[in-house]
Order: sequence, then structure tokens, then C-alpha cells
Amino acid sequence: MIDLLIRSLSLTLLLGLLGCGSGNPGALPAGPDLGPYSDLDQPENYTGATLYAYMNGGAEVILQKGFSRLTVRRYARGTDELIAELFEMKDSRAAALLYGGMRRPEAEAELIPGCVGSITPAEVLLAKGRYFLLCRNEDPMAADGAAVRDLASRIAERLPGEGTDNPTRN
Amino acid sequence: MIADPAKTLRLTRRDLFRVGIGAGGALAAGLSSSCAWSPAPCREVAPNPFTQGGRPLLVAVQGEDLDAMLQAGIEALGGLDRLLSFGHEAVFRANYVARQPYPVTTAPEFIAAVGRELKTCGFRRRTLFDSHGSALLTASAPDAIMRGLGVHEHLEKEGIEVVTRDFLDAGEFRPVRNAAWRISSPVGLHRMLHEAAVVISLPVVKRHGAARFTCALKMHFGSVAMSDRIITHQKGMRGDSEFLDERLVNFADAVKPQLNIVDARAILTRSGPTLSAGGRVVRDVNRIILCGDMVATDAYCARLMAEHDETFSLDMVERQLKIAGALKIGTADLDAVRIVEIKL
Repeated sequence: MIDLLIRSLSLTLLLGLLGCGSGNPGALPAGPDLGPYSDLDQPENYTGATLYAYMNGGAEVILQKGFSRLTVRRYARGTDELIAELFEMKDSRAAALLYGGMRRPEAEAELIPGCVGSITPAEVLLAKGRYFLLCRNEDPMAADGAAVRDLASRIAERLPGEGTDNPTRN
Repeated sequence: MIADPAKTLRLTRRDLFRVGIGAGGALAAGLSSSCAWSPAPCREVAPNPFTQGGRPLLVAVQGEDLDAMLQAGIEALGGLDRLLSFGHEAVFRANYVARQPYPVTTAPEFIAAVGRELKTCGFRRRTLFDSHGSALLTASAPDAIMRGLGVHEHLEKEGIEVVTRDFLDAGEFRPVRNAAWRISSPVGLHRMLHEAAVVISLPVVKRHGAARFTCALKMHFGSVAMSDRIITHQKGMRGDSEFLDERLVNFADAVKPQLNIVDARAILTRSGPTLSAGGRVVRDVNRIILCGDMVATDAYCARLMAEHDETFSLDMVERQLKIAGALKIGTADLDAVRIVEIKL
């Protein structure tokens, strides 16, 4: 009986996970469409039911703030390996709240006209419309932020909606 | 339960997820009491072999040369040959929660360095075990995270075997239980760990969403069946942090590694357990911690986190450590621990 229950739960998880994996990349374009980037892997998609599989215990923070879906793509530019995580939230306020909770106030600057981002050498965060974008260098100790900043800019320009220029405090 | 897959597919995914959690809830409610079947005992191990004057020994080494730090730490511990009395084959547990490099996950060079020390002292076989995916999905294959991080290439050069297993395969997990647990239901412990003669845990030091902190105790979420992990995290998400803390300790109790070697050269602060949740890497902490007591290890490493993360406080782990102490897994009272701090 225990075995049957475990298999039932496993089937449920499987069917949920079938909603993720490679497929529609959402608003994250392929590397060549962005310019000097190549794709390192297939895009990944996650919903509320499967976000735990990607983020483990960090999923709670995101889910509590009105999460809809996550698209993940990995890019290469020269020797840099970069990752973009695009969180689609229920509305622009939810995206701004998520950004407000994760940003580094001391690292904020305008990334593209009308859109402020939290910009460090290894990571760029921003909110635009109902989207929260997190671009990272796969090396969390990277010292040169040019590549991750460029990637975030190119993606942000394509996102619909208004940028966050006065982030909501969490 | 779900007997007709065709009917199942006409339900929405939200309905299926609720059914799954309902099934899991029944499991967590203690079905063993209504069945003739009995779970096995947790992994049985001898008392902590790394003691001094009757007290658990914790060695913390500060430095920049990993091999030198490890050698100094092992020497202060009294040598790894104390583990040989249990067997000549060791299984490593490391942290592969996501495809993100150290300090989100255990650095392959750290495992390799520990592996070399074990080989030197006489271990014939060293195996890294993990269960963090399913063969049913390319994006979540059992070895996807490790392959993405280059773990296999790094370790196979050192003669360390890498074994990954499907977290959805019920046949791989053995239900175990300790009668002293306050939660009556068993947990599914991977049989490779249940049967291992020597288990060495290689945690990293990070913040965590619902659990607030992850190091030696929380590591063992990765040692149990996915259903147990999901149920526990679901309860945490609904605000039942007491259940999460109890279960976290139960998972650790099920494994009871004989040695914990923590790589705290860098730590993940403010949020976790991945960078995707807003965590920040703090470099130049430059410590490794070696201890046969998981609870003392977490008590010490929690202090390290508090030094580097102004948003963390020791009361965030107090309940977990108290539960672990009550189960006699170890001691959080660092005054009762023989602490040796070495600076290279």
C-alpha cells in the first residue's frame, strides 16, 4: 500500500514535471537572436507546481509573491557562461515586490532607459512589466560584469511593460 | 488512487497536484500503523569515533590551501583510520540541489581532495552518491546537475565512483523509522546509504527559505525519497515550520554519517539554497570544519553564518538543534564540545 501511494505521488509529480522541460521558450530568445550569444542547452520552463524541482527551498519566496511561470536559458559569449531566469509574475506589482526583496540598494543603476537594475559583477536583477529577470554569470565569483550586464540589457529591451525606477520595498 | 491514467489526463495539473499531495499526506499520517508491514530501523552506526576526553571533537581550520587545510584538520581529528574499523568502502554525500557552482553545491575539487585523503589512509573504494533527478525527464535526469557541473570528469580521474539514482523510483528507497520520532510515519532512505559501512557528509553552508539555514542536518533532504522532500517543503510553505524542523532532523537521523567535513571557504548568505532566491556569496571565509557530530557541526557553522549575514540569527536554528539533541543525534552545546581551531 505504501508502494502504491509512493507511485501515485510519483505519477503526479511526473505529470506536473511534464509541464516543464524544453519547449516554448517564452520571452527569452535564443542566443543568436540576441546577438553575440550561443545557446548552451535547451530552455527550461517551470510552473508553480514544478518550481521546487528547479529552486528547491527557495521556491517559497517566489511562490508567495504571485508567481506564474519561470523560463531558464543558458548562453555562452566568448568564455563566459551565463544564465537568464525570467520569472513571469501575476502583475507588475508582484514583479516589483520580488525585485524589491532581492535587489542590492547600493548596486542600483539604470540598466536601460527607464529601467533600474541591481547590478553586480556576477548578477543583474530587474523588474519590467510583470517580469522579473535575473541574469547571472555561472561563476558566482566572476569579477568582470560586462557580459552579464550586456545580456540583461538585451533581454530587458525586449520585455513588455514599464521598468522599475522606484522599487517597492518588500 | 489514480487507477485510470486516461481519466487522470483530463484533470488539470492543479487537480493532479492536489491528489498527489493528498496521497502524500496519507503517507505522512502514518499508514504503517494500519498495515502489517513494518519499516526498518534507521541506519545503525557506532558512537562518534572522533572524541577527545569524552567530548565530541570539532576541528576548524582556517587557511587558503585546501589540501594543507584538510591534512591539518584530519591530523587534529586523530586521523581517518578510525573509520576503517567500520569498513573499507566510503560513500560521500554532497549537496547538488541545483546546477549552480560552489558554494551553492559542493565543489568537485573538495570531494576529490577528501577522496585522496581516504585513499591514503587505506580506503579501497570511494563513491559519491546522489539522487536529485529522474530518468523520465531530460531536464531533470538523475545525473543532470552533476554532469552540468563537471563532477563526473573531476572525480573519475581520482578513481571516485559517481552513482546517481532516480528520486522517483520507489524501489530504491527503504522505509525507515525511529520510534522516538514525534512524527509517526517512516521516511524513505536510499538503500545505498542504509547499507553503507561508512558515510561521509560534505556539506556547504547556506541560508535556506523555509528552513532558514542548511548545513550538516539539512543535507539529508537529498538522502530521502522525493515524496518525503516535497511533503515536508509543502508544509513549510504553508507555515508549518515545526513539521519541517522535525522532519529535517528525522532525515538526518535516518542517515547518521560518521563524519562531516564542511567546505566553508565561501558561504551563501541572506537567502538560499540557490542563487535564484536572492542569495549572496561571501568569499574569503576560508574555513573547513571536521566533526563526527552533525549537531555540533551545525551549531558551529550557524555561528559562522551569523558573523557574515546580518539577517541571520542563531534562534533560527534553535528548534532544529533542540530536536536533534533530544533524539541524541549529537549536541548543540558547544561548551560540551572540544573545539580545536587552527590557522594556517
